[in-house]
Amino acid sequence: MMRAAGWLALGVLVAAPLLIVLAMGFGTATSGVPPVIPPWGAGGWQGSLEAWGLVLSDSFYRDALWQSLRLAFITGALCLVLGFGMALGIAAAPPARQFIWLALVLLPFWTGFLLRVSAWVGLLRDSGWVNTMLMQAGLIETPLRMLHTEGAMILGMVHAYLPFAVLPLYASLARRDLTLEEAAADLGAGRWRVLFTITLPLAAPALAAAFLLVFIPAAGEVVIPELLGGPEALLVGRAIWQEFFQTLDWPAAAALATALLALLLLPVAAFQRLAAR
Amino acid sequence: MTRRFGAAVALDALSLDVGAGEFVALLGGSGSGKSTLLRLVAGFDRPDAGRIHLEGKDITALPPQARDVAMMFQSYALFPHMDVATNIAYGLRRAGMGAREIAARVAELVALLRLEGLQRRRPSQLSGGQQQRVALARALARRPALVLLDEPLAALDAGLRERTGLELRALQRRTGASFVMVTHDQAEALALADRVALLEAGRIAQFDTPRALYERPATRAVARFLGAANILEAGGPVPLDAATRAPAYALRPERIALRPTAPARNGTEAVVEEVAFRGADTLLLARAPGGLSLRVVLVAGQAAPEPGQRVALGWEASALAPLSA
Repeated sequence: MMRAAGWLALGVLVAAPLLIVLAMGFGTATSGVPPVIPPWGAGGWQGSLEAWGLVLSDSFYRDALWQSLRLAFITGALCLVLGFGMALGIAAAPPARQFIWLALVLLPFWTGFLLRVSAWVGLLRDSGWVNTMLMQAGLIETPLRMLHTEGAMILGMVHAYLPFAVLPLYASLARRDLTLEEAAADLGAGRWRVLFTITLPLAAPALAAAFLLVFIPAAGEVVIPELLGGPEALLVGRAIWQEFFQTLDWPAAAALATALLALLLLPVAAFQRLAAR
Repeated sequence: MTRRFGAAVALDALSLDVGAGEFVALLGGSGSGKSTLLRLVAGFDRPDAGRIHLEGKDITALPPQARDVAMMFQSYALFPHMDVATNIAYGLRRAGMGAREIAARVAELVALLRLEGLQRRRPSQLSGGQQQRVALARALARRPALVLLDEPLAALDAGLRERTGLELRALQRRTGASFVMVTHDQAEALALADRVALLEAGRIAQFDTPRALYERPATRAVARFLGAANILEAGGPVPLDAATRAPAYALRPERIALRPTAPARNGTEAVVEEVAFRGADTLLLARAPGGLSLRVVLVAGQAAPEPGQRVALGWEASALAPLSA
């Protein structure tokens, strides 16, 4: 009964939307409501590969995909480094205090996502907090351009996705066998050597999970590049958004979304192979 | 050394001297401080007071990796992501040894600990006894001056424990390193160690050879811990005649014999309460006048009395080991 309900939810909420998007990619754009002719109609197959041809050949979309993967990778890597340090620190704290630290990591989730991103706008814009403070302190004379730069975008991404990296890393590090690290130290390994030969390799599955939990949603992120990134940040999330809501080219949007999904399945498959070993 | 954890004193101004090439067992119940002492010597913990010297050098402030001490953990703490050879080589790598030297030393240890053919296995693919030998090989690899062993036999099956213990002692003699072993098993401590330090509440109750510890326990507590000695109070219900005056005496159960009649001193009449045949010997529990319960061990072949029977018991004056407290 439970299982049937689970499969039903999976089918309705995951499989069906996916199949609709997949099918839409083979449809034809039109000026109607909805603005797409489905690939199957009364007369059988009536779809086209036009949208796919566009998405795969036009360098605009290729760049968008590439830029998105690059941003997601940078975000994932930074979240891993910062998250690993945080998780290590939390796991080393006295148990009563670990709970407090974890609650603080999750605290940002208590406010809305949009609100948090907007807060960065307020901090970083030319007349924002940071610039005002720096100018009043006499450190700079003209405001630094921080908002709408790649740095601001990455900052916002890392800030938004860091908890997703901290949690799996903490779960793994808190359960680890500390005698292994003592044994390594006893055999002559210094702190960093212990970290690189014992702690990190044994945390590899958690590191991979943490990376994917950040990388996958980050690759499709729309809001943060839109609000914090520069106009040159033409990411795939933005491109899908534009095709869908502005150009009303639903087949192109669907084909692009499907291509992104296919690209993201690669690291997941790699992770599965790693975990199976 | 002294080590406190909050209000609890784990080690109370304890002092211990281990000779070069000596095999010392730290024997004690849980909470006696034996594991704390081992962790202090390995460098995982710092004493609140006191110093640790190794071969004349003060190592109190050194981190574990800078001490010429190797520890074998109770759980073995083998690195699960490395094979046997890599585990053994871990300490050699850290010492900056060349690849060829490392390979030679690993081969030597593999032969010494009978690990041939297992070099490429992961720890999870080994039996308990094999894991124990890998842990030992890894600890011995750098030829440390001092090897610390935390309950080295506790995780093994009973059948494997005795033989492995003897192998451990043979290995200690061959390597010439000092071994300090923590154990709660008195038979293990007495069988393997050159000297046994009996720890009690963070202090050394007695530090002596196994034979001396067994035959001449210093205190009532030692006599009681070392198993089953009878403790006779001077001026108690049974009149004693000992060579030295002491407040109490320990009397080993096997030193008590059945006599035709009870002697006036160093003997008593008693009623047999329980008889337990144990193979190599028979254990009697006998109640003497004044409520004193005596444990008596009769070697096999002697006719054992029946429960309820009255017997006369006697012992030599030399069998009474004086206790100081």
